[in-house]
Amino acid sequence: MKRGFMLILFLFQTTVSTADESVREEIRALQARLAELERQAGKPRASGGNEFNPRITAFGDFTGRIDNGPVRNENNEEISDRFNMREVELDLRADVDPYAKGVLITALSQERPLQPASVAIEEGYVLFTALSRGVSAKAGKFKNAFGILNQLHLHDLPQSTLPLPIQTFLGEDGMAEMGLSVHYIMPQKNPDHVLSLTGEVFNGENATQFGGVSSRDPAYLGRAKYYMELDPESFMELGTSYMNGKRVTDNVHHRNEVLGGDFMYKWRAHQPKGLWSTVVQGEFFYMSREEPALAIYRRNASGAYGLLQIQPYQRWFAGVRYDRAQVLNNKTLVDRKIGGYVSFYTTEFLRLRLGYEYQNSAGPEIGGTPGPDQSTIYGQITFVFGAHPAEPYWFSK
Amino acid sequence: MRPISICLLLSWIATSAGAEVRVVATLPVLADIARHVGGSNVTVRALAKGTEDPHYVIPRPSLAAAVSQADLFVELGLQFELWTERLLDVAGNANVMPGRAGHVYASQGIAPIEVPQHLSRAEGDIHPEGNPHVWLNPQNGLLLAENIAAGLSRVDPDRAGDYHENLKSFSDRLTAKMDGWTKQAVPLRGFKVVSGHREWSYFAQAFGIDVRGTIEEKPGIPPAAGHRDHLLAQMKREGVDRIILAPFEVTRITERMAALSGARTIVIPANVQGAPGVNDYFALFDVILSTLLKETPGRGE
Ligand SMILES: [Zn+2]
Repeated sequence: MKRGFMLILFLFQTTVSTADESVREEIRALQARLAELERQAGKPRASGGNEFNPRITAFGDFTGRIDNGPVRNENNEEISDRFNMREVELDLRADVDPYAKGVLITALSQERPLQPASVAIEEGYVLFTALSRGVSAKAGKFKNAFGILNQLHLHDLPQSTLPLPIQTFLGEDGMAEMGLSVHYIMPQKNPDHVLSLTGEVFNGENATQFGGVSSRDPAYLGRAKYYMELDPESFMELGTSYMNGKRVTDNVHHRNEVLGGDFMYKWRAHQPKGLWSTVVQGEFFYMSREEPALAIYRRNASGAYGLLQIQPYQRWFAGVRYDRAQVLNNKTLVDRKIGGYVSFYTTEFLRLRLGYEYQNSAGPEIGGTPGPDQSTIYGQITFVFGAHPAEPYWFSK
Repeated sequence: MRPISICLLLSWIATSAGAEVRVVATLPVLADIARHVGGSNVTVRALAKGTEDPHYVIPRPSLAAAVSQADLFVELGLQFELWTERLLDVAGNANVMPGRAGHVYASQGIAPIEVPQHLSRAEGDIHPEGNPHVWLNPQNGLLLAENIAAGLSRVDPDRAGDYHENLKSFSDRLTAKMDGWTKQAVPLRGFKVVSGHREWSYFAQAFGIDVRGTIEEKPGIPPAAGHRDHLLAQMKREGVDRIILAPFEVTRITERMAALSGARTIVIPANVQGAPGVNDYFALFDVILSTLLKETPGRGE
């Protein structure tokens, strides 16, 4: 009613104020628009009763690789020099009720055609969104909030592979455990500075750091992240993560700790004339582990990577990354990797990527990587269909 | 004891009743309308900057922090701000979740134009429910303001009268201004232009400019060579010699298009705070119209 009245009032005022031909024409245009509006208002909404189905997004990750020598995976199958539908991921999410949201991310993968396909729950959790201002919580299986890249899925990574230190310190596919996670955004005085805290308790089942599947000891994780807006076009984040759990050898429980630091700077032009965006990022990992068998009683190791990405054109991204990781049980051995990549987005739903990586491994195999020197050229096609995905906010926007 | 506690209670009621409503709006234009409708009862923060492309705002932690403290969250809707879901997920602010009293879809009741015949990503990726740039027709500003006023009245019912009054004066002023703009815009009728993105359709509806095409192939999709050549031929055929761009659309792609076509580029703000001096919704149209009128054939020649 009120809207109709406003329109009439508007038309009336327009009519009385001037009466020349152009204004009459204007009124005719408005009447046509009004008719169009009325016609459209009568139309039913497009969604045909599917509102209660979860939103589904599918991600496909197809790679091809060329290697300078044979590469085998952890099952001793050759994976070099071939195409691989690395992963098909289904992301389902919907409101559970007014207080919570459900998220289920499953991945189907098949590294070799004759092998049975594997299905994994990458993440499956309930997200509580109505606890208290600034607080959100997850219960279920989720990617642990240790550092930056561990929280991303394979298809969201800026490169085709996870950095070596993440594979070394958190596991070949990173770390995703079952438990509880609470995230808190502290109230801020200065709107451009934000401190957020994350606390997690989960089964210490990560085989890289904790007790593996037979673990009976929970692990704990804490993360603090400080965000600073530098100007309207750039921001910086500093984070530190710490986790603590236990390993079991000969029925004795030993403490195992991992400390991490991370840094990210992102600049994105509002009015791009030259570069569109730049990301500089690095993460550092340090492990300290009780080893009663050793004379010094403790074993430690560290690793880090650094990444630089630029966006020279709207749809083009290019970057380089350097990785370094000490072998966990012999820190005198160091694995190194350097790689570069170029990504092209036809739209935000289809990405083509070409990457090159050179790895020098001093230690035993990591992620199916053999001997000392290995060069790989990657081609990658990543496609997304279905509902608009929930994305990380720093790489490709 | 008792009078003192009553006094304390009364003063507590007085302060809480006088507390400012914290409004967080996604777009500067919605923030400005909320400022007009909320008056001195509200503090308002816009998440997007007026100079950035509102389709692609980075959902940064500072924005999530703002949402966590909001009493009223205003977004446009029509799947325009795909970046708000992430903010709402971590903000932990139950009152401003969609469907709750503190959440406003400001475009509610506005029938979008250019609704895709069939919904598919093949039609481009950012206008799935039709053209969301509704605020560029001032007539839609009335509806945006009504929806915001209704939201304010829900979260602050004690001062609903204020919001009603402010809404009326905003609407009266807008209606009066619209009258002036309409007269002022008469020379713009049929003014043929090409735009960067398909965002001027509502403006064209209100003021009669004739947007013949867009440099983007489809909303959100940069031009391939085929589209570019097609558009160049069309501009030549139809004698289109002006390209209108929002400030964030002045890129190498659009500059190249201008160079190839020989058309002149007109940069006009597409949002409040989108250019110096564009401090509110009224100034937005003042500036757009005066900028375009300077470029109209027959004017200044
Ligand atoms: Zn748009």
